[in-house]
Amino acid sequence: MSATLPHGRIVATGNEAAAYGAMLARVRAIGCYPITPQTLIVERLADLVAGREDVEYANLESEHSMFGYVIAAARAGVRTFTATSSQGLLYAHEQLHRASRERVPLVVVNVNRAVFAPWSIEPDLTDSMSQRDTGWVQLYCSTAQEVLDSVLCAYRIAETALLPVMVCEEGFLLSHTSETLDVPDQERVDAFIPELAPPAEWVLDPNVPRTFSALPEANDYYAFQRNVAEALDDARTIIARVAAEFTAHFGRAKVGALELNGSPGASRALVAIGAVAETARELLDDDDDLLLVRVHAYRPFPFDELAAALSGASHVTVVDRAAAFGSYGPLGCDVRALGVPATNVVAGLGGAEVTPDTLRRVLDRRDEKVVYA
Amino acid sequence: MREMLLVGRGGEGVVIASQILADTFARAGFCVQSFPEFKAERRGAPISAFLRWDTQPIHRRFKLRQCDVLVDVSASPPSPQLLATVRPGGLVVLNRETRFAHAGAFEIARVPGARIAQRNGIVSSEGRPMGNMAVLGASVKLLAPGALAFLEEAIRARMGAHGPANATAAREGYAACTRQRARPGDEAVEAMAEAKPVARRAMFAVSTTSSLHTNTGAWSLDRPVLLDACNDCALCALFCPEGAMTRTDGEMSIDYLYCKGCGICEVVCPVKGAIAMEAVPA
Repeated sequence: MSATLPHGRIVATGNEAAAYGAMLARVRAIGCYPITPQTLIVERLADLVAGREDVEYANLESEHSMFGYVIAAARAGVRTFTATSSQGLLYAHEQLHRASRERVPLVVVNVNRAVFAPWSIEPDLTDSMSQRDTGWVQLYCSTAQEVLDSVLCAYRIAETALLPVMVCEEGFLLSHTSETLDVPDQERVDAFIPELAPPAEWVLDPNVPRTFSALPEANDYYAFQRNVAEALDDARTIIARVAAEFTAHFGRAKVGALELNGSPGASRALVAIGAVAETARELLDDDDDLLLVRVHAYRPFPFDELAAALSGASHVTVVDRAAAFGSYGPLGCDVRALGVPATNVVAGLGGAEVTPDTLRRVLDRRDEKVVYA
Repeated sequence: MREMLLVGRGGEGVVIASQILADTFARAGFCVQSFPEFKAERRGAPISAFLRWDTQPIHRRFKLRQCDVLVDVSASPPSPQLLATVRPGGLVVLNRETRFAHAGAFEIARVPGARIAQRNGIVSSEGRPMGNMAVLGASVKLLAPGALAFLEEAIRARMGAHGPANATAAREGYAACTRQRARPGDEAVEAMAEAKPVARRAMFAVSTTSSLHTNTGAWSLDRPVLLDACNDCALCALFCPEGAMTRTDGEMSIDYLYCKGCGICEVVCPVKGAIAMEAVPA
C-alpha cells in the first residue's frame, strides 16, 4: 500500500520536499537510479507510489538510461520526474543536450554534490553548473520550501516553454536538512498545474510511425539550434509570470529570477547562489551598506534584472560555489558579461565551509582575476 | 539561536532523534533546522547530527563546529575533544546510569537511557537497547520543559506502530533526567578556541599508507565471540561487511582489528548459541 502524501505544515527535508512536489504535480512516470545524496527522493517516491497502477516507477540500470527513459515517457505524452546528483548527472550529459534540443518538458531535481576526483559526497554546484550550456532552465534553491515550490513551478515552465527544467538543491545543506515545510493541498495544486497537453506532432503513437530527430540538412540543423536559444531566452518571461501566478495562487512569495535583500541603494553588492546566498543574509544584521542578490534562475541568465539590481553598486563581489577551470567561475563569467568588473571568489567547493566570517573577508577583497579563497 | 550537536554510533538512532527534536521544536513554535553529518557511515561508526532552533528564521547553512548543547546518545563516555565543542554556559546531556566525573564551563545532565529502552522493549535488530528516546525526553525537559506533549506527538508521527512504546520511553526519560553538581576532583575540560579548518595542499590525492592501517575495530562497543557450538560453516563470513570473519584450515576466527561489532554475524548465524555479543573489554 502506498504511503500518504502529507499536507499542511510539517517538518521535512529538501529531498522530501522534492518528492512531494513531484507527486503533487501528478507525475505518471518516474525514472530512478540511486546516488548519494539524491537517493532519499526516489526512496520517498517509492513509498508514495507503491501499489499504484497509475504511476510507472522504473528502476533503470544507469543515469544515462534513466534520462533516456523519462525522455521517451514524456514523448509518450505523460508527465515525468527523475532526480540525480553529481556523477549521475555527468554520466547522462549527452541526454541533457538531447532533451532540450528535442524540446522535451522534463523536470529533474539535481542534488548538488562535488565532482570526482578525489571523491566527495559534500555539496558544491560544479555538477549542474558545468551543464549550463545544455539548453535547460536551471533553478537553484535555498530552502526546502523553495525546492517544493520550484518543482511545482518547473512543470508550468517546462510545459509552456517546451524545455527541460533542472531544479537544484545542495546536498545535505538542503537535501538532508529538516525544516518547516508547507505542503499545499492537492486540489490547490491541480488548479495551478493543468493537465499535460503535449504537442500532438511529437506524441509517440504506434499507429502513426515517424522518425524523430533524424539527420537534417545543415541549415535546418542550425535552425533547430536557434529555436532552442530563442525558447530559452523567452523562458525568462515565463519564469517571471509563473512565479507571480504562484505567489497569487498559493499566497506564498515565490522568487522569479532574483531575490534581493538588504539596501537597494548600497554601494556594495554580493551576488551568490543557494546556501551561500542564504547564509549571507546574516551579514545584513550589522551591515547597512550591502545589497544581497541571490540568483534563483541561473539559466536563462537574468541579465536585465541583474543589471538593474547592480546599477547603484560601486563594488560587486560574486561568490561561486563551482569550479570552472581556466576562466572566472560560472556566475562570475555571467556577471562580468554584463560589463561589471566584479571580484569573483570561488568558495565552498566540496562542502568547504562558508560562514558569515568567510563572506566578510571575501567582501574586503578587490581582485581582477578569479580567486580560489 | 541555539545550536545542538547530537552524537552516537550508526544504528543508535542519532539522526532520527535530531529530526524528531526538530519536529518537536517546530510544533512548539520555533524555526528549526536539523541535518546529519554525512560520511561513509555504517552501523557502529561514529555519527553526528546538528540542530538549530530560534524564534527568528534561520538563514545560516553550514555545519556546526561548536554548540550550546551536546547530546550523546551512545552509552560510552564523550571524549574531551567532544566536550570541548560546548560553548561556555552550555549543556551536556548523557545517556548514562552513573555520575560523569568531568567539569567544565557547562552543565551536565544524565538519563539512564539504556535501562528505560530495555524496560520498554526498544532494542535494535541486534538486541541492543536504543537510548535515543529517553535522551530526547531528557533534552526536552532541560531545554523546553513545556514541550513534552509536542515531543510525544512528533514521536508518534514519525515512529508509526512503534510510536506508543517510544513515546513512553521519552516520557520516562523526561522524568528520570538528573542534573549533576560539580564535585572536587572532577576532571577539568577546557573549552576549545574557535577552530579554523585547515586546507592542505598536495598535487595528488594519494594516501601514504594502506587502508589496512585504519583499525576500524576501534569503533566497536560490542563484539562477537565464537562459542563451542560454532560448526565453522562460514556463513557469517559471507555477510560480514568488513571481511573480519575468516575460515582458515577449517576453523573460523574473528579479526578484531577490523570488526566493527555490527552484530550481523550473530543475526545470520544458523546455529543457536554459536556466536554471542559481548562488550569490548576496556
